[in-house]
Amino acid sequence: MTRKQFIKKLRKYLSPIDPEEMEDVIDYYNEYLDDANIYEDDEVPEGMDPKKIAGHIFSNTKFTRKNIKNPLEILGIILIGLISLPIAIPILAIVFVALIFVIVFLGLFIFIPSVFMYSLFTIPISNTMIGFVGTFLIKFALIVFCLLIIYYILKLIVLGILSLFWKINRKNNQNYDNIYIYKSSKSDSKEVFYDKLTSINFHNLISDIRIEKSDYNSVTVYDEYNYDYNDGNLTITMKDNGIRDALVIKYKDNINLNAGMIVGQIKFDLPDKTNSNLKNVVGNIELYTSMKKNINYNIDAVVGSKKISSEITFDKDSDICINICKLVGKVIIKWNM
Amino acid sequence: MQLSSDILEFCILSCLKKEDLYGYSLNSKLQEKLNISESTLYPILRRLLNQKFLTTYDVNFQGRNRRYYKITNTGIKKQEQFNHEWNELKTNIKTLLEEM
Repeated sequence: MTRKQFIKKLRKYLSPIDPEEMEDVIDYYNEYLDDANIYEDDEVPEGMDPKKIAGHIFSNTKFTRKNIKNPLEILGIILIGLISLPIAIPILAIVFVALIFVIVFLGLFIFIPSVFMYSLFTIPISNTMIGFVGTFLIKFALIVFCLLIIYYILKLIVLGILSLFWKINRKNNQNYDNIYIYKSSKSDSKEVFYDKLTSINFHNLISDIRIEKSDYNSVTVYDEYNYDYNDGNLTITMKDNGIRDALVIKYKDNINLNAGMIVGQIKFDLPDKTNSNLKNVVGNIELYTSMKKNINYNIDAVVGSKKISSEITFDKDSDICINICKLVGKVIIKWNM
Repeated sequence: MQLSSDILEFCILSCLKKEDLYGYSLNSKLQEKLNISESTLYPILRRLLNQKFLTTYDVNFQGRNRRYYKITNTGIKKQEQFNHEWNELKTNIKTLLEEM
């Protein structure tokens, strides 16, 4: 493979990531090849496989990855977004009226051919030469013909709606690659570090939250949220309506979590000592423990299922105390080795 | 035997503790002693940069850019921690093998 081909292929494989981050990778390899005295039409070393390089980058670098399974899920997200806004009511009214129009329209498409078909079926074909069986065959052929036409019309409508749907989505600048959206978490967020971080409070957030164990204390900061820090206590609330990528919090020692009114998934790597309360959450709560197997967990008023690994035991006197109350979603407690 | 990414991070931090290096020179230095491919280094450098163990600065070389990697104070601390863990691991494995 020549250098030219190598760079071209690398670009292709890296296309799902943020363009700025991609340029960073390309720059690195261009510089590397310059230093190795390999020019445009020279062969690159055998170990330099663009597919492998892209794979390494995907598995070793952090990208917030969203997994959209079907269009219904997108519709759900749009609906939730609409409901959470005060202007939603007039929009909902418009959507409702539009929906009625669509139903009437589709109804006509089915109704008119059916009437046509019915009239065909009752046409008096009085040619005695073809007899009863012949008449029946002609009518049968006409019905099949009509059904085929209906099928193609419906297919056209569905394809039309789908292509419109994808066009609208592309306009929103989202990068669809099969089913994944990679969104760089780097773009307009920054990571803030704290020497001391003992408790975190979340209120009124629409966001996924990930709390990870690390060698340092840090929080991703977005313009849309308010951050209030005071001697190890951090409070995060929502300022605008903007929905952002996951909030990522890294902690070094032990941490207490207080969360209330959250729409989003919460993932929490449990420390060896914590007293955490999670209330009024719409979304799944996933707790991972690698330190201890006995946990004092109290789960109350949950609409959803509970999945607790068989290794985990309930212990009233455990240092890890988790209270979950009023949740719409799943609770998962996993032993993470 | 495959090298874990921790050990590679340790090696990179140790190389950079001595002097600032650019991508190709760092790779050559590692390849002299270790069997690593060209695709391994970049993601690890990225991770070290994200964790603020390294910083970069650009130098003009023959009309083009050369990006140098420099270790930070937290990076030096991390290297010392790795060094400590490495020595412990080394003696543990040695005694284990001697006992066999």
